[in-house]
Amino acid sequence: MESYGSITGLNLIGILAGAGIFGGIALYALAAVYAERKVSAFIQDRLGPMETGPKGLFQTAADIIKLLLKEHIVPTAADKILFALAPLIVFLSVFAGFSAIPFAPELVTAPLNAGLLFIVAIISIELVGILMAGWGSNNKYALMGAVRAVSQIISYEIPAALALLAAVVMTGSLDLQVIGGAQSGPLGLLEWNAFKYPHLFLAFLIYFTTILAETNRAPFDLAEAESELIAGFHTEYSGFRFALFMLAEYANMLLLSLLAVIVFWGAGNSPIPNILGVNLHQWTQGDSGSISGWLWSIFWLLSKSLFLVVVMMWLRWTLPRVRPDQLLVICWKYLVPCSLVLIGISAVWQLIRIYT
Amino acid sequence: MNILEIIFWIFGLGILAGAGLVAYSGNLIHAAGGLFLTLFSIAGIFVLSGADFLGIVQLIVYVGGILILILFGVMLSRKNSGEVIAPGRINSGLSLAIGILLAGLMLAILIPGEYEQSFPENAPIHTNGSTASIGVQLLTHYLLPFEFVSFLLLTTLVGSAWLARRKPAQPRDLLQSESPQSNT
Repeated sequence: MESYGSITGLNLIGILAGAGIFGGIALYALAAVYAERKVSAFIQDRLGPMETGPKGLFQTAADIIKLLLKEHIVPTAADKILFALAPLIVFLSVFAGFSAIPFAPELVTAPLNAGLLFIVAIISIELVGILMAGWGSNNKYALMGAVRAVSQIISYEIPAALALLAAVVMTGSLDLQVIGGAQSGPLGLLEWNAFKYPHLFLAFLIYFTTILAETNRAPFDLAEAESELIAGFHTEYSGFRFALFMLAEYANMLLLSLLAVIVFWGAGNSPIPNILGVNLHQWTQGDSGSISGWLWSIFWLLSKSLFLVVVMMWLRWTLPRVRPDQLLVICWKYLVPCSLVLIGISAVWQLIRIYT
Repeated sequence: MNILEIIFWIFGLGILAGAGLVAYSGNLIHAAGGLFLTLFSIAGIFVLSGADFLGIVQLIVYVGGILILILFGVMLSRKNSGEVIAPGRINSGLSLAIGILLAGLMLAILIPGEYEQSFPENAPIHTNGSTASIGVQLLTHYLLPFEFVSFLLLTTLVGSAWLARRKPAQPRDLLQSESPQSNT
């Protein structure tokens, strides 16, 4: 019973951290939806939202208020329980993944020993939610969208995990803090996994391709194919439940980008090297453990991840959708063999390092 | 009752409720949902007992793999969504006897009280090096079973790819191309 106080105290901090992360995700999703509209508009030579607020800045906030006020419409023939549970499961699985993300050294809500594996595992729970949504809607387009989404995500999880494994073999740990810490150093950018080891840059490219497929975004948006399937598994959803699906999609983009940055792009480490004896790296990194060090880490981690999110939007509005057979060929004939070869290179590299 | 025990009871009841749903629900999809609850709660119990790696693997293998496979099988093989299957009662006397026997066995183990072990004082999340020790054990002490299992899995992989391949046209099929059986 002595442990009662300390454990509840710990959980109070955990609850606060969870609420903070949730608020952060919600704010980020607002900004990301606005950014997506603007990016798509500029790529297509339009202006995008301009009416609500300066430059249309409050457009997504207004949309969210509209969604929250809308009626929950449940189809008569729907499976009520599955229909109601599905958006919660989809969002909670993505949200749980954020618990293992170290935002700065020692600043992580769940310091798991196998954090990388945990994130890969927890995202797969999303699939159950997607299938429940597609099935519970009792709509053939929704079901087809769900089956397409799940089969696509399942097959692209394999090259994603193998590409991550190539980096894990080089670092020798599944702990995200250790992986991030191993990429710090005065050389800045050149200490990151993707640039320190040339073959891991290819692994990064493979992983980034699979991120696009796992979030069901163009060029891999066959599951949402609005011209054939209307909108995929969330066709029948309205109001807050639809908002949860959108929140989960954007949160998933951020989560997978964070993982890519932590594993390949040096986590929270500054990209600027020391040049000619000037300590540029230390100036932009802060001392580890101090408040400024934490803030710099969070700043670099988030700006690199958000850059990747913007690249995902840019690709979505640039590339045409792939055909189903191309989807399979890209995964099984190119990405999987390439990532296997990269793991082999990593293993040989480590062997040479041990025996020399 | 500290918070870890409360979490333990939540997961424990989740396992039982999910198992009950699997056994007694007439709707196959609801039964699969119950299976999800059970498997997820077992992963939670693993993490609670300090076996975080095992819990994560439980999620990957059972929830992410086997459960999805079962759901796909149910969805693709059954045309009517709302078809209700009455839970069968085959050999109810025998199953009752086996159930009572198993319950008695477990109670006989649990009642003497040797297992009234409370949870460790600190949160069990910080167990260090579980991945490393599992890896070292697999490649040293348990190398032979590990190799056997990987060989078995490789065989299954090759076998399923062979079964799912597009069959090349046999010379005999080409000769009998008028008959309706050969147009596979």
